[in-house]
Amino acid sequence: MLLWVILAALTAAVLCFLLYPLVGGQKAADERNAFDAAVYRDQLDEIETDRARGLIGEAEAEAARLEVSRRLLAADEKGAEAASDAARGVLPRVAFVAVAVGLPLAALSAYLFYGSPRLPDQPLVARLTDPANEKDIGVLVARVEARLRAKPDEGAGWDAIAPIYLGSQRYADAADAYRQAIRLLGPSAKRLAGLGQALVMEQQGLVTESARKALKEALKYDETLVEPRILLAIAKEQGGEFEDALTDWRDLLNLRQDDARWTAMIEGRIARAQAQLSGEVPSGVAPPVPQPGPSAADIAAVQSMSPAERQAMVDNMVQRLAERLETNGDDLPGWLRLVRAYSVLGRSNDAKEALARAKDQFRGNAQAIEELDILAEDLGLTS
Amino acid sequence: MIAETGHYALILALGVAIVQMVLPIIGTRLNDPRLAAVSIPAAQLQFILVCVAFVALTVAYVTSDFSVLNVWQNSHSAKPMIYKISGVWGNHEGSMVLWVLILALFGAAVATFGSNLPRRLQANVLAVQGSIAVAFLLFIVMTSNPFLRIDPAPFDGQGLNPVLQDPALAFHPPFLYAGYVGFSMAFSFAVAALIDGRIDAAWARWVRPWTLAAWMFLTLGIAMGSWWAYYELGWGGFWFWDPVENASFMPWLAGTALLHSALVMEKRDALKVWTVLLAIITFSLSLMGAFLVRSGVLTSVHAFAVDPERGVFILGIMAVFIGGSFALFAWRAPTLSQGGLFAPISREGALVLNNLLLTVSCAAVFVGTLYPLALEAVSGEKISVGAPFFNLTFVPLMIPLLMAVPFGPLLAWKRGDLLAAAQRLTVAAVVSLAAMIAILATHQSGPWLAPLGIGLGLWLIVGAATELATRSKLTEVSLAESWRRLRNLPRAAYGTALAHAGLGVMVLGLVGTTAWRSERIEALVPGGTVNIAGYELTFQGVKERQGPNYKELAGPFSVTRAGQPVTTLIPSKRAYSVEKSATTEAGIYNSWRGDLYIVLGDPLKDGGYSVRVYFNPLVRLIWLGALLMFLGGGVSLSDRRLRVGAPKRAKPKTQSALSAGNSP
Repeated sequence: MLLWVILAALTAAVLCFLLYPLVGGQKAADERNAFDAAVYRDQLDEIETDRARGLIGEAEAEAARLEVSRRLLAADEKGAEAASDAARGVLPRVAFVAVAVGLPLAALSAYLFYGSPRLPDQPLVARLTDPANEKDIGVLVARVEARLRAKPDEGAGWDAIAPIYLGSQRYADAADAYRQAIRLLGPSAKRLAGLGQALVMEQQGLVTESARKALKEALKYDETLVEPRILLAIAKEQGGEFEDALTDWRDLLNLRQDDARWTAMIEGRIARAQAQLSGEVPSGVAPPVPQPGPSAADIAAVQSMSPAERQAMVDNMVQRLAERLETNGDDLPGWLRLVRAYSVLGRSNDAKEALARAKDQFRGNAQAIEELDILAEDLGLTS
Repeated sequence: MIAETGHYALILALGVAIVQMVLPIIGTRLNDPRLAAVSIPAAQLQFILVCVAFVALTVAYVTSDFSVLNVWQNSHSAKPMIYKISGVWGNHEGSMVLWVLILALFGAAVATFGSNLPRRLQANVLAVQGSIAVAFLLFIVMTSNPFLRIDPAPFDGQGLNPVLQDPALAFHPPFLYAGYVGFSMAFSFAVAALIDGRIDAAWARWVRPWTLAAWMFLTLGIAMGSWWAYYELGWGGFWFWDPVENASFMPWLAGTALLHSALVMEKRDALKVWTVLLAIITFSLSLMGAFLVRSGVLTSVHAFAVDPERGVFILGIMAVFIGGSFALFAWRAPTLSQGGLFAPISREGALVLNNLLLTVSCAAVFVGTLYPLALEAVSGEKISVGAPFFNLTFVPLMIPLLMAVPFGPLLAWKRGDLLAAAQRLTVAAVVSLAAMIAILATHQSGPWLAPLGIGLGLWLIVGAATELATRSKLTEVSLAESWRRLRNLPRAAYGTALAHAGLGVMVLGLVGTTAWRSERIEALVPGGTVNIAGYELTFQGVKERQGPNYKELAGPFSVTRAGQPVTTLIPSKRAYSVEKSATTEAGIYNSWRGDLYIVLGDPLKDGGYSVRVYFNPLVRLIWLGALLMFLGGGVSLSDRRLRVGAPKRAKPKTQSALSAGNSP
């Protein structure tokens, strides 16, 4: 309501000020030649001052005076003949009504089209201190973040916020928070497992060397953890060690016989690893890693898609990406994604080829080459 | 509520601008003074309304109101306050609001202080200003609205490009815009003159100071941009002939020409039609700069074609204003009266030469900037026109111009004496020749053009001093008398001398840096040293540091010269977590001799780092020169006298010798 009062007052004030000349009396049309003449007279005065200060010599002053006087005479003559009488009539009244009605209407309708009159201001400080937002996860996160910015050495804060980042798919932030927590509070199974998981998610399912280290470390602290073991088994598949992976899957299955969520997924994995080993699936097309969500439940959910469907979908996506880069190669993130995707699919030859082509494409662009090199190193493609 | 009030104020400003565009024109056409008078409150109100909108947007940024889409996209709660504020114009939408704010400010100034303008002229000028405001406000409201909201509001923003989080860059857009928009005043005056088919005597009196002010701001804005590129991008270069740079440089060249021709017009009532044309060209180039930078056409013609809404809108604005004003010029210019006459060798003649060379060099930059775009649009082929093109076209045009600069102020109005001017410049010629010979003798291996460049710079500086000496009659009268004369000189004379000397100082910097720059690229382990230009730099290893919204890897170097410690430089690499990008902060040690410039590169396998070290001789002079030019403009602007160029009378031969030392 207050907003409408303000807008109405603003409009009214603008109209009063704007329309005043249309109702107030105005002098008749001005004599612009008189203005010209005034300028020339000022110029004559200026010449006199310059001469008095000794800035110009007597002869120059005389010449200048002559020139300006000539212009002055011309202006005076013209002024005498131009006798303009202002047209008086309905025009100002028409303009008055048109503006007084049209301006508010047009402004209001444009505002209603583009504006959001119902939305109040939401300054961050007010939102964070408002008790009504107490249960809002965003508020909590923002508060902890603000606190950590002020006191970045508070390990408990990092420890608390890391899983929330992981849950809200801010994987890079999650990995960073876990690292900080480990640095400040020391390693624990939970933190290391979380770090490993965050690193894998950040790489869209690829278990990198640093992730593998963290996951192994986590198992040293608590070998009953399931998630790290699943991810490590996947790492083995990605590395082509299907037999080892198969052993791991079987161990996991024994461990988790009672939990249907897990068994379904693990059995699927076992079936595929066996197919891989017996050569039913061409070795070039390893089963894709499920894009693991932030929790084991999510991993299971993704698994519910039939393997063939998944395979087709992923292949299709990769194919499209490759085709797009074929026609428009100037897309660094695209190349990075393609290399990573081939690597995840186990098509390491394709990955290497794509890498070489990307490097070719970005020759001379040091930053792009650097990013490609980092990726290659991370994926172990440098050999 | 604050955000919504700002939004409404912006829309209302658009409405007022439409009134400002339409009623005054009807008023002057139908000779109704009441309608014409609406232009004054309209221009003032428009400034107040845009101000309300700008303040509302700033409040949203300062309080991190992420329910405003624009704030969410371009700000972050962890950003230092100064960048929250500069973030208001650090993005497309906000920068357009700033543009319109400055436009409205200038319009309000003409409305408020224009009582010595003929009413008709004032109404026409404000109507044209109003039409520019209408175009840009429509553009903002329809395609680039900064007040759109999101609900529910996110809890933190997406940050501001870290490269932009820098003091010089944060404050250079307002200066650039003040420059661009200042030229819109010259444009409005030109179009107003064309609408009525006459140029009032007060015309030049108003146009010259506006042009001068705009030129000053543009000079400073470009210098700040180049300074920023120098220390922030980590290449050690200061000018790249990049299209974005050229976009601001072209209006500067045309504006410099306009400044000089407006001078002729104010003082001598000559070159009227040409000045009007230049005013149109200069603002057209400003508009084109806005188009190039804002439409995304530079990133790629294809990107522009994919999301053409904004680009097409600006293209439309350009077509209407440039096409319209040129058509008006073609139609009306013949009715404008031509002013005073002058001989080819005269101050006016020298300024015409200045104008010719500046406009041709501007055309060269224009071709170099637009040709690649046109080629890409037509054939899809991507080429880049770089420094070699400009060195072959622009630089040769500049050399005669720079050589002619000291002559201009020494020539008399209307008809001058070239020989007498040349005689007075003997000292300047001797100084620069001596310097050239000295440099040739000591730097035999250096580039052969370098001594010429240094000579040219000194020629400009000593030439500027010569003008002051001549006007104070140094050597002709007693020292006390010439000191009295020097103090009595109009401030405009000092302004001219300062600006021209500043140009010389800048040339010295440009030549020194380009010709004698040294560069080392080394792989250094902690404790390693590198020698450059007499300095010894010792790498002390790297350490991590935490900034307000970034982490940085800093690698301090201790610098000694001849065994004496000089300073410690700390180049670093910053990683900004919110924006997920990194910047390189160079370590720079400034001295008059030159800048020592260190960039920390990538870590190497053996624990060392690749390090790039540059020594840029005299580089500081580039920006010092720009600053002098800015100050010269300011000094000249502060001189609010009326200006009349006293012509020299045609006289019998015997007398001309007598008055040779008697120039204005």
